[in-house]
Amino acid sequence: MAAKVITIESNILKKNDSIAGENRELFRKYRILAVNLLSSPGSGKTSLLVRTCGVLKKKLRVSVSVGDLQTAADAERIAGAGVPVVQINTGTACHLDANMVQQSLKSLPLEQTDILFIENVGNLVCPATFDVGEQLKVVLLSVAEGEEKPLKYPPIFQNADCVCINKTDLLPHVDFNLNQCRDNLKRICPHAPVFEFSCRTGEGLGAWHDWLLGKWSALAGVEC
Amino acid sequence: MHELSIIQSMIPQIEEFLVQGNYKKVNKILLEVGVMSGVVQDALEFAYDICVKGTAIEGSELSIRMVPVTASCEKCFLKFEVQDYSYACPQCNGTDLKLLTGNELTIKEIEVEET
Repeated sequence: MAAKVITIESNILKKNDSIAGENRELFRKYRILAVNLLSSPGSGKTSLLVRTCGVLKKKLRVSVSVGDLQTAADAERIAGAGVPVVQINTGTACHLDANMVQQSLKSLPLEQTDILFIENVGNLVCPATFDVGEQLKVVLLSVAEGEEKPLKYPPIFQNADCVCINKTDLLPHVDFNLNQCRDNLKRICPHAPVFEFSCRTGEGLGAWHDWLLGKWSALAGVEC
Repeated sequence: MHELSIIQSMIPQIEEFLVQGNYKKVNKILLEVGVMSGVVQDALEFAYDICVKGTAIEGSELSIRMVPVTASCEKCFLKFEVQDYSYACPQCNGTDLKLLTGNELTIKEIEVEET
């Protein structure tokens, strides 16, 4: 019996990435801007979507696919904003993968969608590894966390297309160092615009909405 | 603990390779893992120990080679290793970078026994 070494050079996640490619093609076909929203649990992903869907739906057709381990609580909240939403329950999985997203798309009106938000499972580690076919990765953190978050979780922030800092209304009450956080983000993801707002009061959300509308216009080739 | 999903994705790929090449067994598996891939080496090894039981690759040895983050500057074209997660060119301080390595999750090579 002879042993031999064989070079394979095979992407471990090629199956996921292949399905992500199919999703991307679907988004391209229907001219959908797909936004993957990532954060720790409790940073305000669902609150942000409720606010954002309420505003954007006046100009664009918005759909949402939302991932959690259990319950349909988030989908019910987002449905209150009056947009189509589908809940993905991952069971025990700590992230959404491309297949879960693909399955969820079957329950959404893709032909009547301009922007699709994919609310990932609350986790700053695992979702960073899995491409789901999105065009944009948005990472959210809140001032109730810590300004060092970008340094503690570099992979997810490094790949962000934009970073949102939520709960700014709490700044007078917490020790969060906003300037330090901005510096940390500049170090990890100097390319990413940073939006600071409060989903509770609505202050600062305008720039985030304008950025999304700009991204959709660039994709669709039309003004909105 | 997404390392479990990653190992579960790896196993059928190697099993398929063994069947296609009509190899008897695999002795060693070498993975290349980028330090920015979001994967922890210890967790990967732990998941591997659990997942290979009862599969065609049980008894093989897993090696993991970590790949550093390297980038090239789009302004001055310097190629460099990103140190301490500082994504700026050490020569011109430019931040328009092209990432060259650091996100790998690759089965690099395997050592097999031929029948």
